[in-house]
Amino acid sequence: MNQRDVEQLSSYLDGGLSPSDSARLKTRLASDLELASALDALRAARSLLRRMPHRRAPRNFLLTPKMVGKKPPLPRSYPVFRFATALATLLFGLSFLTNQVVSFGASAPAPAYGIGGGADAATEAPMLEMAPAATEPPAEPTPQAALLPSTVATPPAPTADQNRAMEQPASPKASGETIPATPRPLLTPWQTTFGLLALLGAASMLLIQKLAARKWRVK
Amino acid sequence: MDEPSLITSAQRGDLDSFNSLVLHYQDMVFNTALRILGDEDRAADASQEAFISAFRAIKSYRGGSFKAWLLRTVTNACYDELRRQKRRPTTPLEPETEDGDEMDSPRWLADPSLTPAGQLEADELEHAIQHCLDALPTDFRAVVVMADIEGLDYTEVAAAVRAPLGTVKSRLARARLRLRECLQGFAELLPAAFRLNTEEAQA
Repeated sequence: MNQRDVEQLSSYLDGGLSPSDSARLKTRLASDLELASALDALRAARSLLRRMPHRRAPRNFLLTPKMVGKKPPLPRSYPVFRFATALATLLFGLSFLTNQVVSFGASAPAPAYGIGGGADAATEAPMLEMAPAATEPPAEPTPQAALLPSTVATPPAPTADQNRAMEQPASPKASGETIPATPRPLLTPWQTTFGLLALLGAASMLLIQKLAARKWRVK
Repeated sequence: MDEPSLITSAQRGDLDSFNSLVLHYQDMVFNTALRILGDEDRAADASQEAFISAFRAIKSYRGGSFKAWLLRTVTNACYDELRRQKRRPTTPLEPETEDGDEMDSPRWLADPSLTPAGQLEADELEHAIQHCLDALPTDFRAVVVMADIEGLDYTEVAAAVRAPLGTVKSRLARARLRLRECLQGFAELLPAAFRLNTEEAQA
């Protein structure tokens, strides 16, 4: 008995042989005891397997949205918020960068204004504080100056002597004086607008996501 | 159960429809996994994994026997589990009796229709068959479990294991023969009819 015989017997058991093959095998089974015994053995193995108790699932295998990584459906307006937020963030970044580049370009020729020129307002502050005390009351600070950090001192109003000195056409190099830097606000109105829009958009997206998730859970 | 419409809905992403299919097939899936893996906990894990994989891949189902398609994912999950088991072999913890001895036949598996003696015999026979199943190569085991325990026909088994019909027939015949040889070692546990056959075969 070879492997092919075993396969034939197994198929015969399951009714998988053609009528002609089946008839031929039956003839052989009648005369071949070994083959008949093998058929009985296969039949017994199959019947034992069929008697195996069918175990029921110990629990339900129901899937939850979390298991399959499903996300709650978002409203149709969501992509608009996403696009607006992304655009506002981009514009904020671009305007910030542009301002930096412009201010860098503006500060480059500063040495022409005197020794130590090009230094920013913060480094000039101590020098300004050392200026002679004002005999007149200080001028009202401009709104721009109010935005400056406290370390940047407001230049005092020129005294009468200083006014006289300014009238004389003396070169800045010779006098060793520096021109005070124009105070710049931290953010321009456009930057503030873009920044606020980006923050507002992000907050709206978060709110939409939370609401959609809550609605989904309730469903 | 309207299986085709549930499948169509599930393919559109409807989880509730898919869960209806889960409820219908979960016993078959678990039993197949149990017979291939031989361990309840692993079988439960593999079944859960199989259903998750099936939901994710249900769009790839293109008709034919859904049962066979589902069993293919179960078989794959079982193969993955067996590979993991090979990499990190563990000792299963059997439940213990009040005396602290390991319980071979956990109470929750007991069939209430059997007497204690009958239950014991049935449990031992089941263990013997499972032992012989575990001794088979994985490919043979999957085929014999699907054909002889789950009652799938050759075509369904071939679709489930992605093998040609001839290969399935060959694996099934060899698996049955090996099981028969293995079970001869548990002759005292076998039913009388099978014992007679055994004795005749040995004579």
